Amino acid sequence: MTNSVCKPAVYESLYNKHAKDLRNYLYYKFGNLESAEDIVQESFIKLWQKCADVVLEKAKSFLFTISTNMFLNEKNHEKVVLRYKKIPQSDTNIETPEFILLEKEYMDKLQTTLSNLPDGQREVFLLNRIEKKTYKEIAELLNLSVKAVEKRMHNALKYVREKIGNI
Amino acid sequence: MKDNNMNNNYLAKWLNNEITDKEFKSLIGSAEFEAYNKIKINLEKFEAPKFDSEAMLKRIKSKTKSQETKIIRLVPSWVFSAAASVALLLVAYLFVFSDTTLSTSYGQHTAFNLEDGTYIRLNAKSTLSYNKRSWAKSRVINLIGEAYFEVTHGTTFIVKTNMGIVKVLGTHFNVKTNKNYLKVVCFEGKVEVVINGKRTILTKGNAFQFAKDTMSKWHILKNKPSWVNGINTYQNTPLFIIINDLESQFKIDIDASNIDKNLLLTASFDNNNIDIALKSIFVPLNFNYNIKKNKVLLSKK
Repeated sequence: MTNSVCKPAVYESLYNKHAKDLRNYLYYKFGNLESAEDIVQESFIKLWQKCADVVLEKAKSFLFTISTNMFLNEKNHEKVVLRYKKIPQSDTNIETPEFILLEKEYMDKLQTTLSNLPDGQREVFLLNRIEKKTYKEIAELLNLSVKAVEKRMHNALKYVREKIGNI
Repeated sequence: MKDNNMNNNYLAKWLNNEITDKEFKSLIGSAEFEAYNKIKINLEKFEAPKFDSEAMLKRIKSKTKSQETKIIRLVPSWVFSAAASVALLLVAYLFVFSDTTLSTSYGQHTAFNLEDGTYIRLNAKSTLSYNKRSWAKSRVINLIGEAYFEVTHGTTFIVKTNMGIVKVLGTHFNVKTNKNYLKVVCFEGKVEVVINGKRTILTKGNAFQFAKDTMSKWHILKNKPSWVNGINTYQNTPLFIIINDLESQFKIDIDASNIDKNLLLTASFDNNNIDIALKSIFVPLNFNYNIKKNKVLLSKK
């Protein structure tokens, strides 16, 4: 009972530990930021209501499972459109307007490609590349094997490389 | 490439720095390497939308709160009857399934009979529990402290303590437990004591004690423990056990930090008079004792 999820301190530490990951995972998976945040909120409220039934060790997978289900049941799947920083790669100002234009074209294409990554690969790839989660962490979050995460990473990068072509 | 394993998910391994740029380059050629590296570098520019963690936690807290208050304000009356029946079921459940517990406070004794006629007398600051429902099938009692039993014949009667198990068929006996201490006295019939898997059989008039890993046995002449009649008696008993009993009987705190509490003592004290009790234990030991309110400080003369 010492680590019951019903204890406000335990509950809050779970929130601090998982809320952001959960939001990003849902966003990368389903693309709708507003819905992702709504569902994170809903999931944590559910966790509080069921705190007596959920043991601490299962809380994370409870959150990830019910939020994924909620999304699948109620929300529309949308495309993820990630924003990128428009900071020039070097600050030496030798970039020609043509170069800048090409860069923008490249980034837009990369953006579209990330959006079009197949389901399953996309959230894994973005959790690693953007959230800097290790393969092991991702495997734990999504209940996958590390090998499966590796496979998805490999295929995702392969996909991006194919789509981006030679520009 | 050093081995074929590297071909397996090599892109993932390169991203994860398990394969160096050099190795990767030699695997796919420099033109491809440049293309992949450009992707890798440019991926760094993407970022997730900001997440306002505190704002969301606030919303969650206000939502869980408002839901609670809603329940209080807007309960329809049927909920009360439903709640009442749930409570009733719960009580019934507790009555049927959970253990019955009896405890005594400082200086308090209690005596009672179980359904099968077994008589139990509980000494001060002791707790006893048993399961009413399964009693007919297995007679098991959990004991902390001290109790005297007069067991009615029937199935095996078991007293569980933190030190060991006392098993009987139908006898009169006394069990006293404490941390690292167990004393069993048999007044009639036969008692089996099991400590760490080691069995000892006690017959009428025999006492057994296990204190701090040492075992002792002796005979008694009485047919009931003396504490039942208001006198606590001890045979080669560590002083800390006696001090503990004095504390339980008279609701006092005894500070024995200045003396050796493992001293073995054969003594007795009167349950009803604190002055006489303290005198009868500590004067023969040549100890000084100071009483201040409920605290007693012991020291050597």
